[in-house]
Amino acid sequence: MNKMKKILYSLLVALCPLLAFGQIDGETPKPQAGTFFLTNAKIVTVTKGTIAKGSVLIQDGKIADVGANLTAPSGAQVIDLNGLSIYPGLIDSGTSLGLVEVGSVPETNDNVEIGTVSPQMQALTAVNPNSVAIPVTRVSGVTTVIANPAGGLFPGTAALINLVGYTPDQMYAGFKGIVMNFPSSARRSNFDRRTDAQIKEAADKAMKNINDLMDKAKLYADIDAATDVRYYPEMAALAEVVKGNTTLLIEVNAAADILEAIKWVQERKVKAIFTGVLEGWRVADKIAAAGIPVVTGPMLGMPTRGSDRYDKAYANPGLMAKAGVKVAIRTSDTENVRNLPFNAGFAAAYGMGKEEALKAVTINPAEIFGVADKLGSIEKGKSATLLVADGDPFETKTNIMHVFIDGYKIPMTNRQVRLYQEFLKRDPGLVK
Amino acid sequence: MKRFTQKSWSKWLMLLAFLGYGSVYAQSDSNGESPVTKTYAFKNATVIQAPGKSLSKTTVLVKNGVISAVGTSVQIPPDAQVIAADSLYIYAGFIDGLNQTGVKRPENQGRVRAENPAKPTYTESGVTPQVSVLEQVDFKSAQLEEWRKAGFTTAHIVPYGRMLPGSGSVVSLAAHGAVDAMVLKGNNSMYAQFTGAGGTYPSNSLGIMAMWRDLYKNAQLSWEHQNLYKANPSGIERPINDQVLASFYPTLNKERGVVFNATGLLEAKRALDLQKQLGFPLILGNLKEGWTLIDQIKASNTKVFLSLALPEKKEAKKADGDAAWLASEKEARNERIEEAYKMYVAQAATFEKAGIKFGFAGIDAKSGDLKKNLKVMMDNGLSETAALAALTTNPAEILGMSNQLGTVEAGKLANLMISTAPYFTEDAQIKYMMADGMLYEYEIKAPAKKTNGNGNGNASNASFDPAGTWDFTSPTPMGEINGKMVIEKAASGYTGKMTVNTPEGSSSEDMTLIKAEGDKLSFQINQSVQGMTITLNVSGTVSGTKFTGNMDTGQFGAFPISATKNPGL
Amino acid sequence: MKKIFFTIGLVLTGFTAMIAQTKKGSMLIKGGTVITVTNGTLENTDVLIQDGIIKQIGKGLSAPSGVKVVDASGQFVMPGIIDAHSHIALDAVNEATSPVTAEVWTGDVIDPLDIGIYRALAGGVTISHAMHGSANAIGGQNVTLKHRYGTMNPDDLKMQDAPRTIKFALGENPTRVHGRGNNIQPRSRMGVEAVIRNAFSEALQYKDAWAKYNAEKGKKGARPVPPKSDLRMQTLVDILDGKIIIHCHSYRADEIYMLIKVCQDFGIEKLVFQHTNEGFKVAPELAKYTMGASVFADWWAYKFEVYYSTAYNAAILMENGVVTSINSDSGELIRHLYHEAGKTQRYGGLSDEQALSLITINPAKQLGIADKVGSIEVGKQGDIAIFSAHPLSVYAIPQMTIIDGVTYFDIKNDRDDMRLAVSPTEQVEPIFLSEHDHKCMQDTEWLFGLAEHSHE
Repeated sequence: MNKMKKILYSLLVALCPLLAFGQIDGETPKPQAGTFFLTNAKIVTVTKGTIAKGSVLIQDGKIADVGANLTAPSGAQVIDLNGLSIYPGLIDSGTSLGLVEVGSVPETNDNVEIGTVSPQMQALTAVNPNSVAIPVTRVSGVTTVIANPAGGLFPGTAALINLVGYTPDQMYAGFKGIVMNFPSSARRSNFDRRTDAQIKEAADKAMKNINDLMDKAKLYADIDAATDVRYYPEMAALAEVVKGNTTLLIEVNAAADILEAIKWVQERKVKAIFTGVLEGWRVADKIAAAGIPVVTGPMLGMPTRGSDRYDKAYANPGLMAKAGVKVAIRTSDTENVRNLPFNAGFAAAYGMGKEEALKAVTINPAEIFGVADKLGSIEKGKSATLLVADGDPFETKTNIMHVFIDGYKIPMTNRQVRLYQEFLKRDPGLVK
Repeated sequence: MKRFTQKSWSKWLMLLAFLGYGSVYAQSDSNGESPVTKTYAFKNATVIQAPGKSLSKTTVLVKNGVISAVGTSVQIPPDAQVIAADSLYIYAGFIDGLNQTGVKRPENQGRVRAENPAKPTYTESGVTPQVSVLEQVDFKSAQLEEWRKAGFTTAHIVPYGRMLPGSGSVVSLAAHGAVDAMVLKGNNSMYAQFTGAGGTYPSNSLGIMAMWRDLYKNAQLSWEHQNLYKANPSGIERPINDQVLASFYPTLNKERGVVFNATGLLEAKRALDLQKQLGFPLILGNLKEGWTLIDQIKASNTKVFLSLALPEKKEAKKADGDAAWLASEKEARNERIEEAYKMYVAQAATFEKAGIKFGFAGIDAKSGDLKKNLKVMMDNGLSETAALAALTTNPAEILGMSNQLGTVEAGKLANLMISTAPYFTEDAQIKYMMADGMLYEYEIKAPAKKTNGNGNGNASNASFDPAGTWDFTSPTPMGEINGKMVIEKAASGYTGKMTVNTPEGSSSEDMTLIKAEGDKLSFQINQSVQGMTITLNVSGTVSGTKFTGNMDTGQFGAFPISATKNPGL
Repeated sequence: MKKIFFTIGLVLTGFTAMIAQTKKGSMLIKGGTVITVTNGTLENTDVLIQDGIIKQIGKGLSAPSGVKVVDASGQFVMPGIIDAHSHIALDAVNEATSPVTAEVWTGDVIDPLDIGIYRALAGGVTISHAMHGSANAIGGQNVTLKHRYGTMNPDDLKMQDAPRTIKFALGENPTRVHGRGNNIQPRSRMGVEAVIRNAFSEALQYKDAWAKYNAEKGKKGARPVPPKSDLRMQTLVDILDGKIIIHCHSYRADEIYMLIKVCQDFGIEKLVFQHTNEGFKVAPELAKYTMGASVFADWWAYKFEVYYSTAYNAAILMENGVVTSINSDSGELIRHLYHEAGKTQRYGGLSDEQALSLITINPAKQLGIADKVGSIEVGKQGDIAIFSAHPLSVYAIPQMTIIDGVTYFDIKNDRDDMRLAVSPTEQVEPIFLSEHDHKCMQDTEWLFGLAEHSHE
């Protein structure tokens, strides 16, 4: 009897997928690999000028060739772009994409850990490759993002990911950095009613804490070089910073804090990228002189002080770029990382200029994160990560026609598009 | 024989009480503290009888708490204690238009959570206009002496509470030894605030404005109903004696004004709007930012008590470091701060120029700052006459007591402030205070050597003893919380417990890291909320028995906290 | 005697005029591309405003004497932008203590000093609908503001000729605050419906009681006892009598449909939905039975009830004939509503005119002020925004914002620090890093029990 049951059961299990398959209508488009020949396009390479009419050959995930007079190899899928424009895929240098699904539902938030010192925590591990927000994001031409952990002094290790792939390893785009929240002299929100002295006291305390930790990490690194040390993952992670193997992503915003952070980076001799940097315009020349690259944003934000001109957040990246700072732009968003091109557009309008703004979402971040050999421009040998648009990708009116990430042709659909398709003309309408 | 009606019965009781009160003086006094006589003659003084009216070589005769004569040829009776006042200056005792001098915050008056938050009781809503401030007065309070020493003999005091805490009374600041004896005019005002009831309706100004309108309208309807019934009860539903609505009747009939504690521009504007819609007589109390409202104040015949507290002027700090942007930005910012500061300290002068008679409210001020702040106001345009009027005749008039208070005239109550030089001169010191006929003498200090600043004599390393029981309150965005802190001296340092009154009862947490250095007090609380531990960092400064500081909850914001050390425990 | 009476009358009129009148200006805006929204786009056209009212639109107009000329050549002139959902210029947002608080009014808590008003002006926004928060099923009444920044008097900001509106809220917010927070109804969407139905039913009884009393009162010899007054009930009666427009915070299609049915049952016709993230699923119903929906361009996934949203919402609603607007609900977003409207061109391909109607004439319709503002038409109020480029371009920069013919924002002449009041003691100005966060109080609720203003 028992045996009979087992047989029946396995039969059912075997039949189930078939049954289910029988009920499915239609097809779900998937990212598609192959050899693609994109032709008749304006090519904005970012690093090598603009080709008015040319072609891009995509093979084995890479840009096999770029030029004005290419011919399609046999077997290539030819896509005639007929006057459309090719741009490198856009890079958002700071997001929570993949780590947070629904903001107010804690069960879906994987970007904050317990404790203030957890530099070894890996954002990459917790990225959900099937987050609904990923397809929503990539059809905008944002192909690559930094996924940031948050909270505490050292919340963890951020990772650069491409928005295609079924495992974090497939998505990994070649950069990791340890996030550090620099002690802040700013108020956290309108409800923070500490006195200035109290804020300073708290910041000093946090700074001392960080310095103690860095000293410990140095000790750990020194001992480690000589002998086996005890299992201490936090110090092991920070030791890599001390040794100069890992970059720190230092979140710092208020002008006075930025000056402190510059001093600190120079004293500690660590590899650093400043992130946030909302008041960077106030001390732009100092940041430029220190040669520390900056990830800033969102542009679509408020001025940090009541007395500041209303457009300071829009103008900040342009003012820093003018002073000679290498600037990348971020949205700091999760579900609306798709607004990255618009953030760049505002930066462009308020002083940065279109060309520099485009760099701030392509080649600049690629260089800052040390992946310029793969990303950030349309060049032979780089990863085939690009977008095709019917106009300026920063304009809302422009349609993004195609997106390629790592050579995969991305289906230009997602749940939001499918809802549009279903509900534009609902049936039944008002009456059944 | 005439039967005792209830009314005459209570009259009789009052008479009895009065006799009893008088008999205190008939008893022997083994401490030697009571006066020998109740007749005083201040001889040959300079009398500033009223603002702008000065009499020289004048004698003021006081008998049984009343000024019986003021003149150059006053007959001094044989039972008088004669005080040679040749070099002294006699003024009417100052009147504080709005304060809580001697008023003690009732226990457990913190945040309340109503049984049904959607249908709270009046009390849960903080609507208790039937409460009298006299129920909260501590006649032994050291604050009476504190304010008396500063020149005040009379105060309009108001109860603690929230939206409508109760009625205010005008009291004497003399050491009467009984609350009833302090009362000059009982329950003469309805006290109102924009203080919400936390998690209960009304939780903020939105609900408070609406509730005001509802209460007022229903008080009118209830008054109508009562009158209908009084005229002829036959066939009429019996009206319920709703104490809250009944408290509004004198206000509806314009016999009793509403005193709003409205410091800011927006609060004051809202109080004026309610006045405009409902028509009650309004006194704006504790006004700090009223200069843009002058037209509406005038048009509505609103009375005003300006706050005696002024913003603390801080010296502009030097820009730090070598950053040029900092220096230029700071300069621009300091210019605006300076501009704003001027508006605040010139408020009294602005009101004077506009022809508005105003008094002062000490409720947010320290008694010791009176003269310093008056000087700042006068440096910014307030005239001496207007300043004196604001301390004497104006509040007497606003409180409807001009026939008893405010000037040094025969027939008025014996409330005098007697100084060694014209009061508004820098060297003037108060030599005597007479409150309600009781005489207080003060030591005159040799003119202090000029020191920098405003004579804050505390050595920076002077310590205080934090041990004891403190009553604290803190306004959080969700309403006020309050409770007690009990600090005890331990083998090393201190231990303590903080008890917070919550709607569900009170909960205690240990205070850790208690530190008392100089005038600074700080400690930490670890509170468990829904399984998470939140660390509260509290720190601030202690001045006398007052602690003011901040409570920092980390990511949930930081809020001011203040506490008073309870001397009794 | 007659003469004296006359003078007093004159003084009184003068006085009330002084209180009620806000500044009205005159100007000739010359040579711009005028986007009227309702009557097409006119190249190289002039707009004449006199005493706050648009008097003429045409080519080659000349300025009457004393009327200043604004050169708008090469620029784009559009109607002042209207935000149908905002909380700027308020210093309290939620009276979150009861599921029904119809009696409270945000007009009581206007903060004219909010720098946010100026920042909105700098984004071309002339009118905002300052709403009560979304904590209660039936929240408070809202106030429609004209951004006449520079006054210390809250009354000057009120758009006196706008009709009354009230906030309702469905779904997660009221059920979280009252059900989960206070253990009273509503705890579920069933409860939200019940609370609203109960409130209207009680209001009918209240109306009846007063009608009886008033009828009785007129009769000879009658001595009726007045019923209790209840402004909460009276406000609900006013809704039932069509005197107040409901603006209901909503996300899911089912709850939108629920309120449509409830309103039908009670004969209420003035109904607008706010946020309406799933409005696209009930677009035919919204088109037929309501005054429209005010939506976000692309907000979603910040809470569960907006997880199944689409940025194509506005386009689907428009194509189905729903009066649709795009709102900010944020002091940050309000500064670039023109950009938010532009997103409907990417998500659904709306035309320029359609996209701009989302932030002008359509919100005006939803607020009941479309006869006064929302388009550039002769006879309407002189509320204008001038842009450097087409306002739907990401590169457009607002140049000048005009209300009643008076300039309140001018990119060329305004100083950097536009605060009206500063603290007299604050030496170090506070730096706020997350002021723009639209979920600012969301995480503190559990600490304090309730949300001070949860307006997400």
